[in-house]
Amino acid sequence: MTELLVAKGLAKAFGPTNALVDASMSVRAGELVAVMGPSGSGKSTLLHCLAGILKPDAGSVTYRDAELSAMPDSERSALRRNDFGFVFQFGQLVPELTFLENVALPLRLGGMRRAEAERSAKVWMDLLEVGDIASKRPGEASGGQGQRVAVARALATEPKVLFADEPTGALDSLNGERVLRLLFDAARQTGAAVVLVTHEPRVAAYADREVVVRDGRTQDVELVA
Amino acid sequence: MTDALRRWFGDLSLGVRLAAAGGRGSAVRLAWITIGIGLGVAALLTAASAGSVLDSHEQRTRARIIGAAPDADRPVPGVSPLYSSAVFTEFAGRRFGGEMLFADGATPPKVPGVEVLPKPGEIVLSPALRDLLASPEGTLLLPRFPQRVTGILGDEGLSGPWELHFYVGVERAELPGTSPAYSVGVPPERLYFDPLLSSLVVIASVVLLIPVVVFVAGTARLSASARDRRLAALRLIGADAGQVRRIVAGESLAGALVGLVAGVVFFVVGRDLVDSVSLFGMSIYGKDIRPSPALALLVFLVVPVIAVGTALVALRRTLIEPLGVSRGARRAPRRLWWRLLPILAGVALLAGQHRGMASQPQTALVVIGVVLVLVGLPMVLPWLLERCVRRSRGGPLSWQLAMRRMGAHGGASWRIVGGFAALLAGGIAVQALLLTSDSIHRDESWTPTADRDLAWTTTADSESARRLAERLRTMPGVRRAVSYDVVHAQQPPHLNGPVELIVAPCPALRELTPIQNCAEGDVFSFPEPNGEIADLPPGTEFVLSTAPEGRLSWRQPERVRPIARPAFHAPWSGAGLLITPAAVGQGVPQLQHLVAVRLGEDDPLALEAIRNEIGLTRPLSFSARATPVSDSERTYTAIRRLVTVGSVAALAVAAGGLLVVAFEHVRHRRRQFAVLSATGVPYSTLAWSVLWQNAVPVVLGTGAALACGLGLATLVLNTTPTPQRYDWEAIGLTGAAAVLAVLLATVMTLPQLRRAMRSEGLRTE
Repeated sequence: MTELLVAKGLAKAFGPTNALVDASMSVRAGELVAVMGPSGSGKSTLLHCLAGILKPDAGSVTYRDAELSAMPDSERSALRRNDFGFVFQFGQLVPELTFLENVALPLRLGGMRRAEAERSAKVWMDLLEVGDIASKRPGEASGGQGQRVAVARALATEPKVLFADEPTGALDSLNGERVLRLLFDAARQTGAAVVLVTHEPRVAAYADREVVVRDGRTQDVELVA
Repeated sequence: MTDALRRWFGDLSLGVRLAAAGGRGSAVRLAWITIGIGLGVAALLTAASAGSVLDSHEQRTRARIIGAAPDADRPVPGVSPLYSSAVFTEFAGRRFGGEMLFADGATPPKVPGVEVLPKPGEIVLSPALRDLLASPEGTLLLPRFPQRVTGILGDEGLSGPWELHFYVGVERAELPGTSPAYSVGVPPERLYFDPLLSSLVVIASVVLLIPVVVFVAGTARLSASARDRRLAALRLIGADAGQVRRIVAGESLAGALVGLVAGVVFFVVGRDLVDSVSLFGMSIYGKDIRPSPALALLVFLVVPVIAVGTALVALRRTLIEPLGVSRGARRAPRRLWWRLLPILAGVALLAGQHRGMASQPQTALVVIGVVLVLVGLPMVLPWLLERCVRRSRGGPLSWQLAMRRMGAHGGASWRIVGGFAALLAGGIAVQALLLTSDSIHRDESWTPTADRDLAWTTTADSESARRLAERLRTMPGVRRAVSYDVVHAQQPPHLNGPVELIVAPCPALRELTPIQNCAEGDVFSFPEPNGEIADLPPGTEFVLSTAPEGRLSWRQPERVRPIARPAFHAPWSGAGLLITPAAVGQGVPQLQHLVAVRLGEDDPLALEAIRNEIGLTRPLSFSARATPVSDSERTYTAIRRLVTVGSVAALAVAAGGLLVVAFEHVRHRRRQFAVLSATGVPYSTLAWSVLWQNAVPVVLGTGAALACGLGLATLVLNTTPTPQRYDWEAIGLTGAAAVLAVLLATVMTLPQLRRAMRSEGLRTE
């Protein structure tokens, strides 16, 4: 498989704390990579560097052979808008907008007309089994439903890479399972690679490959299906 | 539409959607900004109407002046002459007036608002005067209007709906010395506008723009944490920095547009109310309040631009990233030099227009100077506050907590206080300008303090004067009343001051002053108020006026006996001669027939009864009492009161902004408050710290505003030749309101502070 995203020798420090020290990993098209590790090991920092949200202090991240650090903000924003999708533990939905408007938001930011964006958003919401709460706002639905809406929004632009940072961290196990199943199924349907940050082995079990982060260093583990 | 434009429009509309959507926070924010901007826009539209109000007021009052046009006394075919004389009266501290009319023929010139001119014994009243006479409080005034009411004045004959005005018909004999008029009204091209008033309107408009900035800056901090999360979420899903700015602009634009609509509604509703409710005694027709189209357009353009601009400026040092928003990164200390530039430039401009330096002060330059100073004040204030906060070392814990918090996160409240200070400074300057423009107050300086109980009136002839004096003597509240005549004479050239000639028979002269021996043919001289005798050698010649327009020469006889100055004499008049009629000799001089009255205790009811006895067409003049302002002059006072109320109202909104910042501050730091509480810091210490945090910027801001406002007023008034006056009452009121605002904002924050201090605040999720 083609390597979409390649990180080499990443280092990132927050003040005196080294979050990443010589971390490397790659993501191939369509694969599901679980980034594992204990709390504070640097998993989320690695994901943020991979997504171009954070600039590493050293090392490089290339997406389709283009160096993310060298890109201006507008290009990285466009990348996040068109090629990447994000599902975080909480806080990524805009509370002022309805779920439907939230899902349509990245499409509208990309220049799509409102009606068209909302039509497309509705398809994704139905796929994620949250079509019936389209007119509700975050806070008016359960956490599981909110996360499925977040997944629908992340997939609405049909990204090449989906970044998920502890997507089920705030959910009970039953709802967590459901969200993950829908997320992986939908990602497979679109052919999107998934980078999943988690500390739960149960969640990592869905992955094709596992990257373990410990004290800011990575260790690649190929899983045998 | 190009793709780029469409995307811009899409971003802006998304911002509008975000402003309108959402829960309670968004609703409060939108309501706040709507009311704030709405009030600002309504005030601006009112200011933009000042020209039309003044113009209409002038047009209305000038259109009814009888015989004032240059060719008004030239006979017009088909128009019969109209004789008139202005008349004023007072009631309950209010001065109002009208015209005595005599139409000599069937086709007199048309008087605006009057259907049919009143004949002798008839009167035409304004609706407000009719209502006053019909009301219980008008009962005392009713005897002064015994005439038959034959009509009610129409709108076109009045300066405003609440004006007390009348036209009373009299006999020709009651209008001696008046010329016939064949036209009514002064041509519009002769209207004159005080340049001071014009600059006042522009300055007031600029001052009124400040609240708009304050509201927008204040609302930018409302629900700031929710807004930060929202913007970060937008960045996460791919909005670039430009898009985020456009979305923020859209949010502010929504508020500005809704505020504009609200402002127009406030303005229209307020304008309709003007006809039915008299605000501070102001009498203006709603239909006269018409904003200048150009200025209205400017308001509609400038307000959204300011709203959007302010919101974008507030984002200047804010880093919106996908993982969150960071603001207030440690920055270099504020620099003073560039902040001082606008103030220095403004002061230089105003000083250059000083009446001693500029041959003809330029209004535009004065206005620019004022605007520069007002804009500069909010720029200097953050520097001043920062210096004060940095220099603060010791003090109790509550003080230190407040100082440290202000040092780290004081920007929002400083901006609000800066806006408020500029508003207050502008308000003080406008007040001073208004007070100086007010002609009544201009003349107050000469008002003497003695002889407040001395008054007089005139009558048609000596006999009427004598009878009136007799009647008045029997009335309650009258200590003495005496009648006498005054001759108007051309003064001999060698005299320094005027000499008054009083003609009266011996009994009347004895009423005026103690005279031992008096016989017909005697002449007496009385000194000036300071006791100085006029230099009048025997044979001094006076040229007396005679009717009609003749001259009569009178020489002072050899024997003139000195006497005491008459107690009834006006304190400002000079020396004079008391002449018995036989001493006048041949010829009949033109006499003014006077009745002087010395009143007893200050009794308003008795005074109104005396005025009623004297009648409507003969006013009672006081020698030393300030004349109550007339209806049109009251407009100045009303505007000044409005400015005071407006300043206090704007202050209330600024206090609201302060409250918002304080709320947000407590909410944002509830964990820190909970930690402090858990470690034993008492509630009172934290409450005091909130009070200091609110009070220090406001006290400094108010002080700076007072200094700036008074300085500004002095500089502006120095460009005019009028003496300077300051409305200390209004300044004090605004200062007191500032203190109240701080206390209120603090007290309202306390419940939230108490909640924040609970142990639940220690939880992180």
